[in-house]
Amino acid sequence: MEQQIQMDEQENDESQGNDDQQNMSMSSSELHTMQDDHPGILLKTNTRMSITVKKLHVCGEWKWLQGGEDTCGICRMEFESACNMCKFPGDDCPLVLGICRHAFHRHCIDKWIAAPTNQPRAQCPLCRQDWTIVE
Amino acid sequence: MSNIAFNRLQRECKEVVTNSEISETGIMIEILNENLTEIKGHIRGPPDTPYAGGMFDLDIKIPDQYPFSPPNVKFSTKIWHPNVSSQTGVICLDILKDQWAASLTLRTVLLSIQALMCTPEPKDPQDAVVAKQYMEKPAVFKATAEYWTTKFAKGAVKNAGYQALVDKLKDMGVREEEAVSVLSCNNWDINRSTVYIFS
Repeated sequence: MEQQIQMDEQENDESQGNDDQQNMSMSSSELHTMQDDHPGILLKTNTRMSITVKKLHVCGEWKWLQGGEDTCGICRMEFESACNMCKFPGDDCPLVLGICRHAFHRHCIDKWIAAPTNQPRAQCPLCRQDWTIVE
Repeated sequence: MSNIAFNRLQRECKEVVTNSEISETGIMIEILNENLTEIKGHIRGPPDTPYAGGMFDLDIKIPDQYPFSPPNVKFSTKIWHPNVSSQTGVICLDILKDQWAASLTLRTVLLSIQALMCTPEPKDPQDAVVAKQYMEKPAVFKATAEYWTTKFAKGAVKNAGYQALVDKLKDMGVREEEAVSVLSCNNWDINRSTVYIFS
């Protein structure tokens, strides 16, 4: 899993009046907010201006490396969203790649391999090559 | 119906509704019930085939295991085609049976059926009588398929000769649909058809 961390820093004492406004523009995926009673972190600067970080919002974005922008050919959901059997995306339902280079949600391809129309040999639902997972 | 099937169908329906390409290809779907287990498909008869100008309806039933099992698809409009039963509308198409794949959708299924209308596969028939006529009397097959298109699928090609034969049987008290079917199966030979019906 690849992670991109975006940081939003709010600076110095004088900007306090803007706090409410800035909070509203923060993304809903914020993971962590410093407590209001936190004394703040003093940043070192090369100028005479002193900067105290009063609030810190950390946002994360993640994506599966194999999938790109595509959708799963079985459930038709974006690779980034959970498959139809999961509520949340995560490591128990990662993307798996076949030797044919086609990717699917793990739960989707597992269910397809077990389907009666797919016996005795499992085939990729997109290209009908024998399905083998690339580890 | 399982969540998986329902969620996927919802996405598929959106795909068919929003895709402008669909109106160009002449395939459409119509949702019959809220839980998406029964869907109506429509296929415009492809140009340069005996089905041109007709609009063909299909009954689509979605199994609980969809998309891991194929949808159940059959024609509800009567059609004269080697791979479709002229009696029941059942379709012989590999992707609806053992060649089904979970990545296929209602859209690709309807497009495949439309392709089958363009290129019948008489060596793997669903209706042996139609397939035999297709191979042995192609001109009769074409005229019959056109007549069926006009009769059942709102096609525009008129065939006064065939209509007269159907009317003759109707005058003898035969139901129109049966008259069309029996005449078609007997290569429009009125004598053989009467013998078939009344003996």
